[in-house]
Parts: sequence; C-alpha cells; structure tokens
Amino acid sequence: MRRSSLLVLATAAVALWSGIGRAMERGELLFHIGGCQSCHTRPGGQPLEGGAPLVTPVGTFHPPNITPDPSAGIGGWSDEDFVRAMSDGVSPQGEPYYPAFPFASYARMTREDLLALWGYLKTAVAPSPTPSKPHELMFPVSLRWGLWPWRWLFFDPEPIVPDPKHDEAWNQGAYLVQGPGHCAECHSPRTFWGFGVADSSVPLSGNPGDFITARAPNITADPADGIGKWSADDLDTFFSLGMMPDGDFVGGEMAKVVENNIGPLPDEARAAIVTYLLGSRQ
Amino acid sequence: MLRPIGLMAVLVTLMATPLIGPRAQGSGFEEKRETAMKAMGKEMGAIKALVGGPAENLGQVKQHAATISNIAKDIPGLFPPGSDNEPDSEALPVVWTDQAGFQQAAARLGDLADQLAASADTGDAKQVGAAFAAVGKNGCSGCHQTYREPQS
Repeated sequence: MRRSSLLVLATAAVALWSGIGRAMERGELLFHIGGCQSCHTRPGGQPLEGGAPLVTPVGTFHPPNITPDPSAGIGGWSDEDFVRAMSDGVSPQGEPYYPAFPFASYARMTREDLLALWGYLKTAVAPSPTPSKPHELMFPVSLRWGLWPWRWLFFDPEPIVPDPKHDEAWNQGAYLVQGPGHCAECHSPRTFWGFGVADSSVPLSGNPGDFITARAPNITADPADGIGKWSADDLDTFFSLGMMPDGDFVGGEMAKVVENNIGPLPDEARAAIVTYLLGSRQ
Repeated sequence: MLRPIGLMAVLVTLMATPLIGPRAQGSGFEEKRETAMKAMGKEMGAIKALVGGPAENLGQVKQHAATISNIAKDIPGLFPPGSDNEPDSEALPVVWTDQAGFQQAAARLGDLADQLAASADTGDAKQVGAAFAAVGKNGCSGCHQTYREPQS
C-alpha cells in the first residue's frame, strides 16, 4: 500500500519535473535571445539587477532591476503583469514604458513564450535587493504621459505569422529575429528621426544613425549593402565568436549581443536564425 | 498630437547645434594602426580556416598565433599619449584616459595568442578551437568593445 502510493508520488513528481523541464528549456532559450542581460546587467553586477546607464541625447535611462526580488525587482508581479509589460509596454501600475525597452518587438511573441520566459526569470535568476534608479530625462521627454500619444501614433504590434512558402527552420528563425531577438530595434531605420519605431517597410536595412539611436549595419541578404556575400558558416562563426569574414572582431553593443544573446543559443536555434537572415538571398 | 510638437522643439534645438571644433591633424598613427589590426585579422582568418580543416595542419596555427602575439606587443606604441586627434580614427578617448587598462588589454591579447600557439602543439582540434575562441572573444572583441567606436 505504502509502496504503491510512493510509486504514484514518484511518477507524478517525474511527470511534473519533465513538464517543467520542457517549459524551462524554451524559457531559457528566450531569456538568451531576448537579450535581457545585455541591458539589465551592469558590468560586474549580479544578473538582471540593473544595467549600465543608457545615455541618449534625450537623457539617461537606467535599466531597472528585473530579478525576482519581490520589492527591488519584479518578483511580486503576477503572470498577467509580466505579459502586459512585455506585450503592451505598460507597468503593473498602469504606467507606459519608454520604448528604450524594446516591447514593440517583444509584443510580437506568443503568450505561451512570454509565460515560459517568465517561468525562467522567476526560478533561474537570483533575487537582488539593489534598488532601481529613476531615469534622468530631458524635458519634455521626461513627462511619461507623453508616451500615450506616442503609443497611439507608433505602437501597432503585429503577430508573427508563419510563412508556408518556407520551411520550419526559416520560420523559427523569422520568429526569433523579429520577436524576442528584437534585431530590428537597432538594425532597421527608425521613423520620425529616431523618435518613432523601427521602420517595418525596410526591415533590417541598417540604421544610418538618427537623433536618438546609433548607427547599425544593413543585415539583409543584399549582396552589396547587406550580408548576402556571407556564407552560412561565416554567419555562424560571427554569431558564435564575433568574427567577421575579414577576420575583424565585432565590438560595441553587438559584442554583447554575441556574448549574451546569440552565442549561448543551442545550435539549431542559431542555425534557424542564419537560415532566415540569409534565406532571401538569390 | 501635443507630443510630436514638443519633440519637434527638441529636434530643432538639436539640429541647430552645429558640429564645431578644430579639425584634428593626423601624424600617421592611424594608418599604422589599421595596418597592424588588418594584419591580425588576416592571421585570425587563416587560423579559423586551419581550425576547421584537417587535423594534420593544426600545427601551422602556431606560426600565425606567434605573429599575432608579436603585433600585440606593438599596439601600445601605436596609441602614444597625444595621438588621440587622428582624423578618421575609430579609437575611443578611453584609450588615452585609461592607458593602464588599454596596455593591459593589449598584453592580454598577447598572452592569449601565446596560449593559442602552445595549444597548436597538442594537435587537439578541441583545445586549439577553444584557445582560438578565447583570442577572438577576450583578445579582439573584448578590446573593441571598450576601446573602439561601434561599427556601421
């Protein structure tokens, strides 16, 4: 009797564990490709306890503590709070976030993925009591209510629909690039001199640099202006090591992206991204 | 529609701020730096091909890594005090404000290249690959991230 109930318990525990395990794998993958660490972890700091100041011409943003600490971080949030923050760019208190937080891309992720990411953040990241710092922004950008008309003008997220003309790897790559990977936030030109959003009419065609955002290269499969001359192996080498075909090594923000976002991905996910980025090549 | 008007005011202010200041005069350091960096990039490209190639050629990694180690020794001399006004230079001011850190970073590249050269003797593709990745990440990228302007 006792033995059989133990067996039932053990079976249930294994079932539960493997269930969590599967969701966690996806959550961890999304945690990496989402690049949370690149902004929310400062050099030498504990993961996600708050990032290095992001200095822009309109002021300095201080990426907040997003560890599961209940008071300093976001540990007190409900599932819905997290989903709303990521997919609607609004805090649990109802305040709109500045688009320095790339929620316009995260909003394109599936709800299931957002919950998987949330599950990972809550369990795999150590809570930190380091308080978040308020942003130091110039007037009138400092007026947070101004984000409501901004949202009305610019924020219009579209779900990522699989394209049946392409295979599963391509579609998986398309999702990772456009959703959690938020590549377009830097690699697409931005509308309204940088005050708008990533221009979806010319995706990943490079940002010439504007009033707010920095320059970023064209990463379309165009052979002249983009990376169309790179082989799949070249791009995989770049994503794993930061090395370009001419032997140069990337620095700046992209070095962080290679280190935190793409480098740690499983090989299949990295290959899917390569397939998508080079896929439209003639 | 209030916000765009406010933003436009910011924009106009920003646009009215001209980029003034004396145009710096170069003294040839920029060209030498570029030659040195490109030479190291070429060696890294050659090593990458060897790492992905047949095991019997792995020994050749040694000479390429030694070349990188030698060039790394020259790096601090290519960025002497006062050479921070080269036109077209992508070097960030922190190279000169943190000379100790910069020299340390160059020394680290040299050490990592030496370790890569040593790994070539093992003939083990895994070890050579790991040592190669360390040169790239902690030698090249590590330095570019801190001391070079972002590329476009």
